[in-house]
Amino acid sequence: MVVTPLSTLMSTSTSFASHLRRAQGETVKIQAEVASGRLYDVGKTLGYGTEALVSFRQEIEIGRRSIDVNKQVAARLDASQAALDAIVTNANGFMSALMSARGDPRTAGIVSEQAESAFKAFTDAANTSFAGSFVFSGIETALAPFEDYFSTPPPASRNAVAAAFSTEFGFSSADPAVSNISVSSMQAFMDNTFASLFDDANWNSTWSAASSQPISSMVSGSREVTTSVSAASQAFRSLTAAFVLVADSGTKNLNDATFVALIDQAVESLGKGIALMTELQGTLGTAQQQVQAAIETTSVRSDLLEEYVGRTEGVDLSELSVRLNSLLNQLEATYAVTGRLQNLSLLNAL
Amino acid sequence: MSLGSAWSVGLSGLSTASDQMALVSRNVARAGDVSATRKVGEQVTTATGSVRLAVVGRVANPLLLEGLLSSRSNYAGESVTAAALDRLHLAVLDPKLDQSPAAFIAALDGSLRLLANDPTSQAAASELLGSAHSVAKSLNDATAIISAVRSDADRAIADSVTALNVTLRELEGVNREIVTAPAHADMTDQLDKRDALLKLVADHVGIRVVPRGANDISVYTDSGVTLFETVARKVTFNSSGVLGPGVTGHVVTIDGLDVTGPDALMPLRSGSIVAQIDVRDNIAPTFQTQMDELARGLIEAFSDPDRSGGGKPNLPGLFTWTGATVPPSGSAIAGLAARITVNSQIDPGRGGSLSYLRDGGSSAPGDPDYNANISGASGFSGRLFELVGNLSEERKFDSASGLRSRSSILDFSSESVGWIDARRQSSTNRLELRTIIRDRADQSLLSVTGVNLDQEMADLLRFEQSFQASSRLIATIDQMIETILEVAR
Amino acid sequence: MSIYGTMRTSISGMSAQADRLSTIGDNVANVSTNGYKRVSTEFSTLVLQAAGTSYESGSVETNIRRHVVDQGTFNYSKSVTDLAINGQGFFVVEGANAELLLTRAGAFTPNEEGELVNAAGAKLLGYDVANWGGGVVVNGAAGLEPVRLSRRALTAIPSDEGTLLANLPADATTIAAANLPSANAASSSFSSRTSLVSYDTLGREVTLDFYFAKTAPDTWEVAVYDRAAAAASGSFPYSGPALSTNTLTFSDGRLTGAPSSISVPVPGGSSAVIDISEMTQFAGDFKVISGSVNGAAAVPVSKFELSRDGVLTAVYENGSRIPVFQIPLARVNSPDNLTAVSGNTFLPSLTSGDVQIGLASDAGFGSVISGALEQSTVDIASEMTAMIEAQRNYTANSRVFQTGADLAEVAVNLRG
Repeated sequence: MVVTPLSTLMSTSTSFASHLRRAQGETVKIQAEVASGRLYDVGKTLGYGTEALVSFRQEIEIGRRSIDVNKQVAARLDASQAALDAIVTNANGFMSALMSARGDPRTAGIVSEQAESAFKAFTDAANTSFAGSFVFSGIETALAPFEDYFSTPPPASRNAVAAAFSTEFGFSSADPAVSNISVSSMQAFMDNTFASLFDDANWNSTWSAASSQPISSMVSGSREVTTSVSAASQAFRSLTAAFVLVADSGTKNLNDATFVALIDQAVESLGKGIALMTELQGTLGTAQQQVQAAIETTSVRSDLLEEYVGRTEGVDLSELSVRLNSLLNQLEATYAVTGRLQNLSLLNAL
Repeated sequence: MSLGSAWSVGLSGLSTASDQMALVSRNVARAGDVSATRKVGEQVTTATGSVRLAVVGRVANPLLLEGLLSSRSNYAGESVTAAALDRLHLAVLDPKLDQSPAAFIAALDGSLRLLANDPTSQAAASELLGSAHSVAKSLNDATAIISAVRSDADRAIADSVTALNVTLRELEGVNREIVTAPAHADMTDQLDKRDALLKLVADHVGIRVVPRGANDISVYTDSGVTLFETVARKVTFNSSGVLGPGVTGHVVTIDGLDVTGPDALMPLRSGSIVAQIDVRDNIAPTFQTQMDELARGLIEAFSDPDRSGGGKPNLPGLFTWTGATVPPSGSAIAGLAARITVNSQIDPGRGGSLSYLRDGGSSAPGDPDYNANISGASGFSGRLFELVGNLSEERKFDSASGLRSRSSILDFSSESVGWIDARRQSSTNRLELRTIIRDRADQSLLSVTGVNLDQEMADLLRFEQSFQASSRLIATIDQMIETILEVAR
Repeated sequence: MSIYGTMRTSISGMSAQADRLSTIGDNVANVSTNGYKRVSTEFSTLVLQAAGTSYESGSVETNIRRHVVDQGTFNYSKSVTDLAINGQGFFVVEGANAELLLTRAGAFTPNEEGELVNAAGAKLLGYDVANWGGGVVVNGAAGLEPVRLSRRALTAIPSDEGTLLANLPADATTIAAANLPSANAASSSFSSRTSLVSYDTLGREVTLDFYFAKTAPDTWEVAVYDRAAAAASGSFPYSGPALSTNTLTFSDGRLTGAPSSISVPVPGGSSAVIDISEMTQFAGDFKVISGSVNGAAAVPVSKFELSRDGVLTAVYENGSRIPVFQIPLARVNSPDNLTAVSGNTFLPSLTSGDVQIGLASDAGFGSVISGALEQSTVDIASEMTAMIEAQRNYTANSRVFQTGADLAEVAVNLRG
C-alpha cells in the first residue's frame, strides 16, 4: 500500500523555491533593462564580444577628440588664409602705388611713407595669432614673426639695414648725400649687400623669430599633414625686402634715375613676393581641404560605430515586454498551483 | 492455553501498533527537515504467533545520495568562481561607464592629440597630466581589487578547512555510534545525521563514500585521498594573510598529502576549496599579469630613447615606477600595476614641469641626448605625435597574461576586458546548469526518501485500526474469562 | 464391608479431586510466573480383587504430571539478559548449594559480582571462551562456571588482518628507480597513496601509509610506512624503513601471481596480513573500493549481545565484538519426569534420564532468544473449567460418602 513517492517538502522544497527565485530575479532584470534600454549586464551577455565593444568605444572616444582637434585646425587655417588675403591685397595696393610713383619721381617722399604704412600693415597681418599662438611662426608659436620695424629704439633688422647702407655708401640713408648715389652703385647695393640681408642666416637672426619648420597636425589616424606656412619662407622675405627698400633707403633724397632703379627693384621683389604668397595660399587651401575631409570621414565612422555599440548593448523593448508578460503569467500560475498543492492534504479529511 | 496465548498475541499486536504509531509521529515531526528520511518499521511474526516490531529501518538510496553529493561539490565550486569573477569585474565595470583602464587609455590618446595640436596650451597640458593620473590610478585600483580577491580567497580556504575538520570529527563520532550499536538497534536518526554531515563535507571537497561492514563507511576525496577511515584525517592549511601580487599562497594538505598546488600528486577536483585555490593561484594572478603588462607597456611606450644614437638606455617618460627604469620588453613584472605612477618631474604639483610633455627627457633633466625638441620651439609637436603612434604601435606582451603576445596597448587593454567578461559569461552559464542539476538531485532524493504527510496519515489510520482491533480482542478475551469466573462462583 | 469400602473410595475420590484442586491452585497462582510449567493430574484406578457377585470399590490414584515439554509464548523485553529458549533444552544454573539445576526461566540480571542470576537466585552457567577448548562435556558440569558480565578488563585488540581493494590507474607514469617509495629518499615520489588505521598491542592507533608506484607497465611496487615516522612535511623521507615492500604484477588488469596478501608488521603490535588479492589495474582514477583493518583500541565494554546459539559477545565502545561466554543448553530424555524444585528450577531425577549438555546450535536443542521471556503455560480458562469440574466431582464424591455414611448408620441402628 504505497502512495506515490512525493515528499511533502518537495512542494515548498529547494527546487521549487529556486525556480521561483530565478523567475523573480529574471523579472527584476527585465524591468531594469526596459528602464535603461540597455542590457542588464553587458559583459556577461556578450562574453568575449566585449573586447570588440570596448575597442569600438575607444575608437569613438579618439574619433571625437580628433574631430574637435581638426575643427580647431580648420579655424586656424581660416584665420591664416584671411591674413594672407590681407597681405596680398595690401601688397597689390602698394604695387599700384609704386607704379604711379615710378613715373613721377617727385612723389618719392609720399611713396616712402606709403611703403612705411604698407610695411606696418604687412607686419600686423604676418603677426596674426589664433588661440594664443602665432600662425606664421612655424613651430615657434610663442614668438611673433616680426618686430615693429619703426619702433624706437630701432630693432636689429633696422640697424642691420642702416649698417649695410652706411658701410656701402659711407653715410646713412637719412643723409642728403644720398642724392649722389649713382644708379649702378645703387644697383650693386641692392643686388649684393641688400640682398644678402635677407638670406637664411641673416633672416633668422635679425628679421624674424619664426621657425622655418611649419606646424603639422595629425589629421586622421596617425597621418601628419602640414597645416601652416612660415614667415621664414621666401614670400615674406621678398615682400619685406620690397617694403624696406622703399621705406628705409633714403628714397626721399634719391636722384630721379636712382629712384627709378630703386622702384624697379622694389616692383620686381614685390611681384615675386606676391606670386609666392599666392602659392602659400594654395598650400593652405590644400591643407584646409584635407582637414575638412578628415573631419567628415571620422564623423561618418564614429556614427557607424556608435550605432553598432547602441545595437549591441541595447535591447529590443517589444521583445522584452513580451518576455516580461509571459514570465509574470508563469509566476502567477506557479503561485496558484503551489497554493492548491498545499491544500491537497489528507490532514484536511481526517 | 488458547485464551492465554490469544491474550498475549493480542497484547503484542497492541504494543506493535503503538510502536508503529510512534514511528509515524517521528516521521511527521520531521516532515520539514531536509535531511530526514522516512522511517519504516518491519513487523515480524514470531514462532508462537505474536507479532513485534523487529527493526526500524529507513528509506535510503545510496546512489541518489552519491549523485547529490557530487552535484553539491560542483555547485559549490562554480558559485565560488562566479562570485570571484564578478568581484574582479569591478576593475573594469560596464563599458558605458568608461571606468576601465581601456577607456582611460583612450582618453589619454585624445588628450595627447589635443596637446599636440597646440603644445603651448597649459589647459591641454594639464588635461594630459590628469588623463595620465587617471590611467595610473585605474591600474593601481585594479591591483588593489585583485589583491583583495586573492586575500579573501585565502581566508575563505582557511575557514573552509577549519569547518571541514570540525565536520569530519563530528562524522567520526556519529559513525562510531552507528558502528558500535547492537544488531537491531534503531540507528536511523544517526544515519540521517551522518548523511547530513556528508553533504556538508561535499560542499568543501568532492568526496566518494565507500561502505564497509556493519553500516560503517570510509570517505575518500574525488582524487582518492583518505578523508575518513575509522578515524578522521587531518586537513591542514596555513593562511597567508594579505597576498600581494607575485606572492604565492600555501597549499592544502589532507592526510599528510598535498592536494592542491603544482606538486600535488593526487589533486582535488571539485568543491569550494579547489575553486578558491583556482581563484587565488590562477584566475586572479592572470588578471594581475594583464594589468602589469599594461603598466609595463605604458612605461615602455612613453619612455625616452637616446636620440643621439649613443646607445644609452631608454629612460621612463610620462609613466614611471618605483624601479625607475624601463623594464625589458615582453616579460611581466609582478605588481608593476600597483607601482606605476606619473613621473614627478612632469607634475607641477610635485615640483616638476609640464614642458617635458612636449620635449621628453623628463628622467634626465638637462641631458640633451634625451631631448626631442632640438630647436626648443614652443610649438614642437613631434614628440607628442610620436607618443600617439606608440599607443597604437604593436609591441610584445608576456604570454603569461593569457592574451595575444603581439598587440598594441589600446588593443591589449580592450582584450583584457573581453577576457574577464568571457570568463564571467561561461561561469554564469555553468553555474545555472549546476544549480539545476543540484536541485534535480535534491528533488530525486527527497522524492524517494522523504516524508509524505499524506502517506503518514494513511498509515496512521491503518495502525489506529489495528490498535482498536487488538484492544477489542483483549476486551473480548477478558469477557470470556469473566464468564468462566462467573460460572466458577 | 462394601459400604465402608464405598466410603473409603469416595474419600480417595475426594482427596484425588482435592489434589486436582491443589494443582489448579498452584497453576493459577503461577499464571504470571515466567518459565512455569503447568501441572496436571492424571488419575489411575486402583482396583481391588473382586469376586463375581460382590463388588469392592477401589480407589483413585493420583499421578501428578508436569508438562515441562510445553513451550510458553514469549514476552519481549529490552533487556539483553532476559533469555528464553525456543525449542527443547534448559539453561544450566547453579543453585544455592552449588548443585546443578535446569530451568527455563531466563530472567537473568547481573548481581553485585556481575554473575547472571535469575529471580530465584540461581546463577547461569556457561563456558568461558578464554579457557574453553571448544569441546562440550556432554554429561557433566566440568568446565562450567557462572557467567559473568562485568569486570571485563580493558582489552586492546592488535590488528592482525585486513583487506585492501583498490584500482590502480593503468595510465600512471612510471617512476624512476631512484624515486621509488621504497627508496625512502627526499625525492621519492609515488603514483597513488592511501592510508589505513591499525592498532598495536597496547591499542594505540597506528596509521599505515600505503604507497603505490608504477615501476614498469603492469608492474607496481607497494610500500607500507608508519605515519608516525613521516618527515615534517607529512611524507618522505621517513625516519624508519618501510614496514613492507612488495611487487605486484597485473595481467589484463587483475592481480596475478604472488603475493595475494602482504604482511605488515605493525610497530608495537603484531603482523597484520592485508589481503590484496582483488586489487585491479584498469584505466581510470585511483579508487579505493574497500579498505579495512581489524583491531581495536583499549576501550571499555559498552554492551553485551547474545546470539541465537548462545554466544555472549562483549561489544566494545569502538564496535569490535569479542565472544566471552558460550551458554550451553541441557536436555534430558524425559523432561516431564524432572523433579521440580523451588525457584522455577528442575532437578534431574532417576526417571528423567541423565542430563546431556550441548550447544544451542546442536541437533535436538532449541535456540536461545535474547530479550524475551517464556511465559507461563497456564491458561486461566482451562484451569477455571477444571476447577469447576473438580468442585463438582468433589461434591459428588462427598455425596456418595454421605450416602454411604447414612447407609452405614442405618446398618448400625438396625439392632435396635
